Amino acid sequence: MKNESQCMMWVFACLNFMFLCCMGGLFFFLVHESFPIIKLYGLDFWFGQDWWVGETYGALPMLYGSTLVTALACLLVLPLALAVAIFISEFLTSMNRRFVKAVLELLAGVPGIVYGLLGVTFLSLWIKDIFGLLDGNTLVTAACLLSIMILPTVLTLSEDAMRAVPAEYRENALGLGLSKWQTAITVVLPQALPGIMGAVLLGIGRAMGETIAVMLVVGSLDRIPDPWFNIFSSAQTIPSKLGREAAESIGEGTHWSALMALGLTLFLMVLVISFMGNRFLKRERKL
Amino acid sequence: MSAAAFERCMIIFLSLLTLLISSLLLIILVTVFIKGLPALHSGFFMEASENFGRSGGIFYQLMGTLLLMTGAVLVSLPVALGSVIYQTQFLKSKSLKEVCRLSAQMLNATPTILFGLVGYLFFGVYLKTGVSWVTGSLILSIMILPTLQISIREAIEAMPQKYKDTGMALGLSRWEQIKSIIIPQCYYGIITGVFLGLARAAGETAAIMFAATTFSGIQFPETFEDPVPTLQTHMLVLTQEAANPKAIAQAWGAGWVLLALVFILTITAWILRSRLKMEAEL
Amino acid sequence: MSPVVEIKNLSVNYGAIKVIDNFSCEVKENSVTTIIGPSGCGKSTLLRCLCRMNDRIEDFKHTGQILIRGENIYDPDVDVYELRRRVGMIFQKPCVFPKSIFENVLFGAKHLNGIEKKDYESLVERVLTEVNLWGEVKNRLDNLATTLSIGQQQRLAIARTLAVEPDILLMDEPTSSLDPESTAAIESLMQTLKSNHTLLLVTHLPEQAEKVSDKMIFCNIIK
Repeated sequence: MKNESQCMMWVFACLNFMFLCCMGGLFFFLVHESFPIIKLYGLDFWFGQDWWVGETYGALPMLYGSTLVTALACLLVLPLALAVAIFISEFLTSMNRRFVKAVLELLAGVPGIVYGLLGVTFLSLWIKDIFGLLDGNTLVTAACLLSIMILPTVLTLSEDAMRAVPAEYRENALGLGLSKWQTAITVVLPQALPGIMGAVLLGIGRAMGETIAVMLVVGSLDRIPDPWFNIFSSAQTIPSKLGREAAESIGEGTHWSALMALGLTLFLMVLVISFMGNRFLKRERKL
Repeated sequence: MSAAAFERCMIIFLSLLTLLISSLLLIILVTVFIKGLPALHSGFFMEASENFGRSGGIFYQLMGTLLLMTGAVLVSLPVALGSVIYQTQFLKSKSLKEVCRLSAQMLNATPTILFGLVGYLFFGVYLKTGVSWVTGSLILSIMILPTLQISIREAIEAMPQKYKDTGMALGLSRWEQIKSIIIPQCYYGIITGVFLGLARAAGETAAIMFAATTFSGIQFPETFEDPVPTLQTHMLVLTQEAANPKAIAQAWGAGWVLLALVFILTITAWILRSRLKMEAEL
Repeated sequence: MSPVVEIKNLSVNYGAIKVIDNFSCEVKENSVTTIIGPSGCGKSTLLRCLCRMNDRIEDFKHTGQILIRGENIYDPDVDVYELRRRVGMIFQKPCVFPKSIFENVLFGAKHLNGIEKKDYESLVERVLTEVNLWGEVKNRLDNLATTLSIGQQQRLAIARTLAVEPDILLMDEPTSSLDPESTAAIESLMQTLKSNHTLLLVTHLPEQAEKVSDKMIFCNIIK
C-alpha cells in the first residue's frame, strides 16, 4: 500500500514537472530563437525604425504602437470601469450584483475574432466617418476596441477590490452621517486602491497580448506616426506584427529570429506587468 | 445641493452607465445574429463551405473547432489534475509552491500568439507533428492548463478538512485518500474546469492560426498530420475580404455559431458548478 | 418637558425572524438611558433602528413609530444622512481609518459641516478636550491613529462623532473591547457628555448600567 502511494506520488510529481516545463520551455525557446538576431543587431534591434523583410529589422514602430494603443485603451477604460464598479459594489442589491457579474464573465469570454469582426464592420467605419479619415484602421480604433475587450476584466477585479474593504469602515462613515456616495469616494475607493491598481495592470497585460482583434483594425503600418502623437494614423503592434508575418517564415532564418525577438520582448513586458498586477491584488487581499 | 440630492443624481447616472455595460452583451449577441442572418440558412450547420467560404455552410469548420477543443482538454486534464494534486497534497516546500503558483499565473497571462509560435516550433518542427490538428490540440492544452488548474484547486481547497481527517483516521493510505476522498469531492471543480477550458479553447484564434489550420482543401483530417479548418480561422480570412458582402455575411454567421458555442459551454459550466457543488457539500 | 426620543409599538423582523416585539419607551433629554440584557435579545437592533442603520439590511421590516423631537424618522421625507449626523453612533469595536489622528477626528466634519480650513485645528482641539484625549495626543496629531491604544481609539471615535455635532449619542457596548482603566474613563466621560447630549447605551454589564444610568430598560421587555 505504501509502495502504491509512493508510485502515485511520482506520477503526480511528473505531471507537475510537465506543467512547470511549459513555462520554462516557452521562455527558453523564445530566448534561444531570438539569439541570432540579437547577436547580429544588439540593442539596435529595439531602436531601429525600419522593418524590411530580408534587409533590416527594427522593432521601434511595433514597441511604440503597442505602448500607445495600450495606454490609450487604459485611459478610456479606467473612468468607466471605476464608476460602474462603485455602483455595483456600493449601491446594487446582491441579486442584481450577481446578474451583472455573470454578464461581465460572459463578456470576458467573447472570442477575439468576434471583436475583430465587430471592429472591422462598425468601429473602423465610424471612426473613419467621424474624424474624416482616409482609412479607419488606426491606433485609436484599436485602442477603443481593446478598451471594450478589457472592460469586463478591469471592472470585475476593481469591484472585488472594493467589496473586500471591511464593512466596519463603511458603517463608521455612515454612522457619522456621510452619504453612501461620500462613503464610497472617501473611504472605500482609497482603501481599494491597491486592488484597483492590480486590476488595471492585469487589464494592460491582456491588452498588450491581444492579437486578432488588434491585427484587423490597427492598420498594420510599420511606421511611427508623424507627428508621434497622431493617434489617428495607422500603426503596428507587436502581436499584430507577429500575427501577420509569422506564417511567412516559420521555423528558421533571420526573419524568424527577428519575430521571435519581438515575441520575447512582448513576453517580458507582459510578464512584468502581470506580475506587478498580481502583487497589488494580493497585497489588497491581505487586509 | 444637499448630499442626498447629489447622491440621487449620481445613482441615476451610474445606473444608466451600468445598464449600458450590461446591455453590451445583448448588443453584441443581437448584432452578430442580425448580421449573420442572411448566411444562416437551414443547411448552414451541415454543409461544406463553397466558393472559398463565400457561400455554403460551416460544417467542417465546426467539426475542426470541436476537434481541437476536445483534444486540448483531453491532454490538459491529466496534467492539470496531477499537478494540482501534487501541489496541494504532497508538496511541502514553500518556495516550490510559490514557483508553481507564479508559473500558473504567468502561463495564464501569456499572450496566446506566443503559444502559437513556440508551440509550432516545439511540436510542429522539433517533434515533427507538422501543421496539424495534433499540434493545435497540444498548443491549446498548454494554454488552458491554468484554467483547469484554478477550478480544480478551488474545489480541493473548499473541501472541509474533516473529510481528510476521517480518511487518515480510518487508516487509508495517501493514494487511497486521494482516490476515494479528494478526487470525488472535487468532481465539480474538474467538470467546471473542463467546460471553461473548452470555452476558452473554442474562442482562440492566434494560437492555432498557423499551427493547425487550413483554409480549404481538407474536410475531415484523415491522419494525425492533417490540419483542420476551424470556425475562427474561417472568420479571420473572410473578415479580411471586407468589401465582399457575401463573404462578410458568412463571417457573421460563423461568428454567431462560435459565440453561441462559447456561451453554451460557459453557462453549462456555471450550472454544473452550482449543482455539483451542492451535492459535494451535502 | 417632552421626551427627545419616543418609541411607540416598535416591532422588527429580519425576514421571518422577529427580533423586537411591540416595544415602547421614552427617553428624556440630557439623560443616560441604558438598555441591558444578554446577547441576542435585540438591543443592538433597537439602537441601529434609531439611526436607521438597519436600512442596509435586505430583509429588514418594521412596524410602529420612532419619533425624535416629534418627527417620525422613518417618514419618507426624512433626510437619512442628516438624521445620522444628529444621531451619532459609537460601535463596540473602535474603527479608526488608516490616517493621522488629526484627519480621523475631522473625517466626518470635513465633509458635512462646511467648516473652513482655518477652523480645523480649533475644532480638533475642542472635541479631543471633551473626550479627555487632548493632553495625550496634542503633540502627535500627525501620527497614524492606529498607533493609539484601543482605549484611546475608542475615545478618538467618540471625538470624531462629536465633531459632527450630534444631539443624541448611541453607544453599542462601547467598553466591551477595553481594559478596566479605559472603561472607567469612558464611563466618567458619559457623565460629562450628558449635559449637552442625550445618551442611549447598550451594555450587558449590570454594574456599568447602575453606575452611569438615569434610567434602565431590561431586555426581556423588548422581546
